[in-house]
Amino acid sequence: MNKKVMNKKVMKKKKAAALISALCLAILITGCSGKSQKPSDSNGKPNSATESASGSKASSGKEIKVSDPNEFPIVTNPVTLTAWTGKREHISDPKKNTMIREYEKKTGVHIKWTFVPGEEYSTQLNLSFAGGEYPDMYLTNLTPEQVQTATESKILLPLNDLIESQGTNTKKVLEENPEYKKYLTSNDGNIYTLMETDVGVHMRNTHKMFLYNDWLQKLGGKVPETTGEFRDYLIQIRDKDLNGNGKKDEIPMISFGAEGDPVPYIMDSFQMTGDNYYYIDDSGKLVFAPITDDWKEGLRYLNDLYQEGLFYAEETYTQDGDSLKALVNKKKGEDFLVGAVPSFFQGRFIDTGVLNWTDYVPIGPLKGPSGHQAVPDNGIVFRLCSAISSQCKYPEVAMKWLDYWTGEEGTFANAYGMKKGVNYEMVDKPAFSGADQSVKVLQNSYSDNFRFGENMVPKVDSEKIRYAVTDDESTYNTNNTFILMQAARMYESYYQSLNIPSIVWSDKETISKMTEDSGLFNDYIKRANTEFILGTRSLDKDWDAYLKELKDMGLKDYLTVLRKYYGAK
Amino acid sequence: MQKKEAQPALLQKYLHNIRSNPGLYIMIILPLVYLIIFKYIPIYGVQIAFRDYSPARSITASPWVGLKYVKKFISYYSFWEIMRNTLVLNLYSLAVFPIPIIFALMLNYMRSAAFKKTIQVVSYIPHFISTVVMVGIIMQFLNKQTGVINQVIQLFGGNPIEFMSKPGYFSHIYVWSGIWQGIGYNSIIYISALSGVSPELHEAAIVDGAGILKRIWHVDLPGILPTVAITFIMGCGSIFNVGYEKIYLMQNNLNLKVSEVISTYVYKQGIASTMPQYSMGAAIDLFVSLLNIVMLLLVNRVTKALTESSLW
Amino acid sequence: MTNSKKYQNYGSGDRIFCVVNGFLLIMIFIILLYPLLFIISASFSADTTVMGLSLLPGKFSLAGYRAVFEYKDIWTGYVNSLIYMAAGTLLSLTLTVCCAYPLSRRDFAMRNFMMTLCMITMYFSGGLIPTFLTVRRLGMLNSMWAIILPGSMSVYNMIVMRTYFQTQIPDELWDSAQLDGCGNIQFLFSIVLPLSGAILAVIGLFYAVGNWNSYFSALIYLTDRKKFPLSIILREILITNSAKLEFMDLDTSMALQERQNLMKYSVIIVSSLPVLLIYPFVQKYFVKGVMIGAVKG
Repeated sequence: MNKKVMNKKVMKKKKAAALISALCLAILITGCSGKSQKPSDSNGKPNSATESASGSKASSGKEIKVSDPNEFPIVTNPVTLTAWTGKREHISDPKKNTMIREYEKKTGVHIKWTFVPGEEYSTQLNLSFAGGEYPDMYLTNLTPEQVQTATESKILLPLNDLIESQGTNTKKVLEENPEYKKYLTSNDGNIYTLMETDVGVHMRNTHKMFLYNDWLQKLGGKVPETTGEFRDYLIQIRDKDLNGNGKKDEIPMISFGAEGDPVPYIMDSFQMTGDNYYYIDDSGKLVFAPITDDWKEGLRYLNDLYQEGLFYAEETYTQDGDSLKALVNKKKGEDFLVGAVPSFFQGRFIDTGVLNWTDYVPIGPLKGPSGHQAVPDNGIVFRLCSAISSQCKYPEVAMKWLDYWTGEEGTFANAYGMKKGVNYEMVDKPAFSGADQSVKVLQNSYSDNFRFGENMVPKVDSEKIRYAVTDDESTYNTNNTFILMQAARMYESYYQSLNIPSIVWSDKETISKMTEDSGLFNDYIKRANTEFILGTRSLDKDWDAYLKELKDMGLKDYLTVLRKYYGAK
Repeated sequence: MQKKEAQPALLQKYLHNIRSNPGLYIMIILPLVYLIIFKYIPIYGVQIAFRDYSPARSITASPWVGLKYVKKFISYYSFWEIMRNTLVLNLYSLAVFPIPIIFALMLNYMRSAAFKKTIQVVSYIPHFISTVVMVGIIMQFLNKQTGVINQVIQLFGGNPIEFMSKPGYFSHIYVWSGIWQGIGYNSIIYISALSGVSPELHEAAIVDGAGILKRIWHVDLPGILPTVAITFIMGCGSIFNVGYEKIYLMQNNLNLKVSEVISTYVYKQGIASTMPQYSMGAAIDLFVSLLNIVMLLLVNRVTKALTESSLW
Repeated sequence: MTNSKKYQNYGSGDRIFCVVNGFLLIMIFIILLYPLLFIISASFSADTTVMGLSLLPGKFSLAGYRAVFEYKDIWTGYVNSLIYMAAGTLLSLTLTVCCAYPLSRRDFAMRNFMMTLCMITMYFSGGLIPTFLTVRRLGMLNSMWAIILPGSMSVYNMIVMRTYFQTQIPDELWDSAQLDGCGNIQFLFSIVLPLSGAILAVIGLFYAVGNWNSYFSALIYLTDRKKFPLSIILREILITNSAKLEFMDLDTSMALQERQNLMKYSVIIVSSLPVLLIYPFVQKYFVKGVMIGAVKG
């Protein structure tokens, strides 16, 4: 008996001991974790000298000599840099990607890649910033806000001097385009990123109108040029049983999604506006569009179209892309339904298995009742791209690595590939740009894994490069260059500049108030537009209430913050 | 005098308890450590709601701003609309809470075991359809021109309706599609609880002459009441959380006034904007948590009084 | 107690009930089934845009499935998801039982304290960045542990399990066990767990499904593509955020849209299969326990 009791006591003691040691362990672990929450001290420098995780595998202590400008390879001894980017569709396998391999051969620099999931990009970026260990290069687009956030903690390296010493191509581009320099320069006077530009003409105005060509021809082939003519055209589609099946089932105008909203297109005929409902006129004054009488008339026009059964507004504002495609892509003939589609370009609503892109032709802006006919011009696309972190051990190497892409050769290579004869070929046929020689693409960007793609390394686009592809009719339905250019041409003569700069640097307070307010007002105005068009709100009776609500929401403050943000009047 | 005695008594009580039930204490260490490391340590981050946090700084280096962001949220122009929408959708979802229970009961009394199993498996599948595809299906089914629902309506002589454009339909579409997706999966817990109801009680009831309905009322329901109560209370405790994804995909200009909820607002202000507002998001989360807790305590008290089972 | 015994005493009222019940269940069955058949049919269809009231695919095609099988990332995703699911479920069940069981014992003095501790975590959490930093500190970034550890115990599931222990294991069993000199732990292993087949199966299922579907942790903690679970791959294909599409260059966005259209239905079928197959296995455990006999005897 005694032994049993003794054993039990020993057992209990053992258990108690186990308990206590487990608790101690727990405290130990939590104590350790509790201590080191700060990723970096207030200066933003890494906690210890050894924490710099750039991973440069080059033998430390060896002098790395960068070669002369325009000379490659960049270094004689191999250097490894780490690069951070999001998943790229063009790089299906980084180990086998031709461009990565070729460029490594060319430069002598090996890249250790981090491909974060393509989803939730800005969260990923913020996690990287918060993590305390930064890659050598961030190969991605950045917004001014992200740059400012990063520079607060000295995450990014100012590039001004580096551009001077290593950025031969970049220097040239900035000299030729002083406004680029302004775009790149942050509030503190430094440049932290390079740039990515895109001169695609289709981006200058993304709100276009497309008509079904067969019916256009059936009705005489004359393209409507005024809002009145357009209305008559739609009436004919509604009434004339153009598909010949005996039923008045034709749908004059319908679309889907934000791109399918006809309001911006119609406003070309009534009131100048940008995508966020304001623009800056040539005298520098900020104009808020949705409160003007011209805007009201534009909405009235659409309301009228809706009531006459010419514009299927309900469907347009609620359905998804698949539903629209189902309506549009019918076999030609008796079943065909849709006469006009406001959209960005035909690829958004045409299924090439059923129709050709060219079955719907673009038309230009209409002339409004007051004679207004102007298309807001977004200008070229300019984005901040690529940065070097403060933890990079070989910034000159990184800079030279990046600078190549800013030059013509680099931009061309990223567009068409580095290996002539394998990725592409030069042929003696005219290009879209008008040049005598053009590029014939030999491989598929996605499956053949030979480019970086967009939004990753810097790029300075030009018409010469962008439109270097062969102008060949057989590709009009497979390569979208033709239809994009064709559509853009319709709007060319009507461009009016929005005077809104591509990149704006401002202070945090202003930016955050502006972002918040613009979200609020944009949502409200979108809502109000659709309600006026559908007649849920009356343009005559409710317009003043609408104006008052905008005022109550704080329109005045919003406009003040906008003016501050853009430096407008 | 009493306090002095009480304190050592408490300590004594704990030590005695540990000694008599050492196993339980050892067991509890695992989840305790887990909670400390993964829940409580990061909790210091709750203060983001009261600071001007920026991801490139550490949390303690961000300036303290107190209730600034909470105030900002409350004074937002659409605040009441957002709150109302969130509450409406949640209360509606809660109101249909009995449906999986009824479904479980119906299955329980299905005679054919094969049919029962088939329905169960089929009912369980919709839960796995990802939100994107789910919303896509909803939109296709409701489409005015080609959707199934409208075709059925027309068969019965009605006029097709563009459902997604009418704000009045939004909550119904949201909740009932949620029921479709969840009825099977949510009934699993009740089916399992029903299988734990003593067969003896059923026998006794049958002997007493009770029909199926009476048996459901007097045997099954009381038997699963604890589970139902707990599930219900927990549901109430998340009354202000409405997941953003499904609603975000279903939003459009026409239904925005009923479809903007707290989570979509936070999403748009946070991740989807160019300047993520971590502090704002954290402040709103905190605000919502507090509301949830109040709700939870209330419902817990009420349920305790009514049914004697509760969380505490 | 077999089924036939249960039904032999049906009166006329009960028969009516059964008929109505059966009819309603059939209706529910049809409503549940129809959209599913739609999805299956769409997955075999060449163009998912042309589908009317009928359930037959417009143009029969295996292109959707071919695309899925050729997309290599799906297979690594599959394997990873299976591993995470198995490991995660095991871990979660262990943690949950270790928490629910003590909390269900009336003689556990720390009960209320522990319960409160758990409940608080349901409402207050540090949020994304502090949790991320903790995970990072523990050196778990880019590893399986970052996926399965942080969320391993769901307080909700734990409470359900605790309730089950409290209400479905009769006190008489514990009393008689104590008389036999059985301690809490022994009671757990010899009596409680064997009788808890149903709840373990259910909670295990919930965790398994939760693990299978989880993507957010993978999104922020994993950078090595080879470790991605299926859910991330799926989201990349289905592009939830259409705003991103507009930001991309046209060719990429069109290619992605096409891919999405092609694969969206077939990928659902392929990725849901494993979880669907679990349920029939789990169902076996929803059987009435034999414990009543133990008490009486």
